[in-house]
Amino acid sequence: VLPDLPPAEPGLRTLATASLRGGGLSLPPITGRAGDLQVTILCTGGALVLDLAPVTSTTIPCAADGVTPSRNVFHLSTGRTFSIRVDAAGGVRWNLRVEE
Amino acid sequence: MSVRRSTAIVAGVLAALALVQAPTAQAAVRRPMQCPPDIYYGNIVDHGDVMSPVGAAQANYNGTNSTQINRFSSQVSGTITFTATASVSVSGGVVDAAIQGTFGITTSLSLTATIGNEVTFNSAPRTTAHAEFGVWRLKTTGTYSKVQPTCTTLNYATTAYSPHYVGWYTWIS
Repeated sequence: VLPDLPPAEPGLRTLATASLRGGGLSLPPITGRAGDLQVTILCTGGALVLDLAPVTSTTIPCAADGVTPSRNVFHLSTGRTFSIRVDAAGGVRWNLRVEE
Repeated sequence: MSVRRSTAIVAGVLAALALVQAPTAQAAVRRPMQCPPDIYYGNIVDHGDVMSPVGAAQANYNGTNSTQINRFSSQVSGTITFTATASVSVSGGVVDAAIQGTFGITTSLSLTATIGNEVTFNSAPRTTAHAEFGVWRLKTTGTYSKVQPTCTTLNYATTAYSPHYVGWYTWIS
């Protein structure tokens, strides 16, 4: 069972969240500091593409019959402003938390 | 000696005998202390996630004079399991349950990192883009305790690594 949001990591600051949904979503730009930018996604039902423009883009295959717990950590050498977009088919269920 | 005084002496001797015998009677009905066996993981400290790579780390040097797009993909699939360092065999299920109960964090006995994950990011001239793919495992330290049938408890200092997430770690040097 997918929770509404991935749990927050102790000691980190949450920059953005997206609650449980199906299909794609775009979020307003946010600014991250230099250091580790951590994106946690719980998903099921097919692949999704996480786009943090202009920093990075990631393709995540999500299990059809279970929950895929995904965490990608991007080390930023300088602070950056970036947008967040998730592309996914309507049958893909997912949630998201961005932390630093 | 009067009759009254001798009666008192006899009563005193009988009372003393009863006192001496009383512990013996109690010992006869006393059962050895017994406790149901129990195992738990306590005093847990969360040290955060540690990457367990699946496949080799990948790197790409940008020797050009312009920004370069780097695309990395997971080359192999692999399963990473729960492990623990202690002077006793540690149950991953006990550790998982204790982590869930203490921090509300869901961990697993194993997670499989699969082919098909891709990550793309830019790198400046004269820099190297690095990408590592695998399973993030939650590192915890704590005390693994086993309650014996005799009600004594044996404690073992433990470091545990519990599969938590699948994904990438990327950086530029």
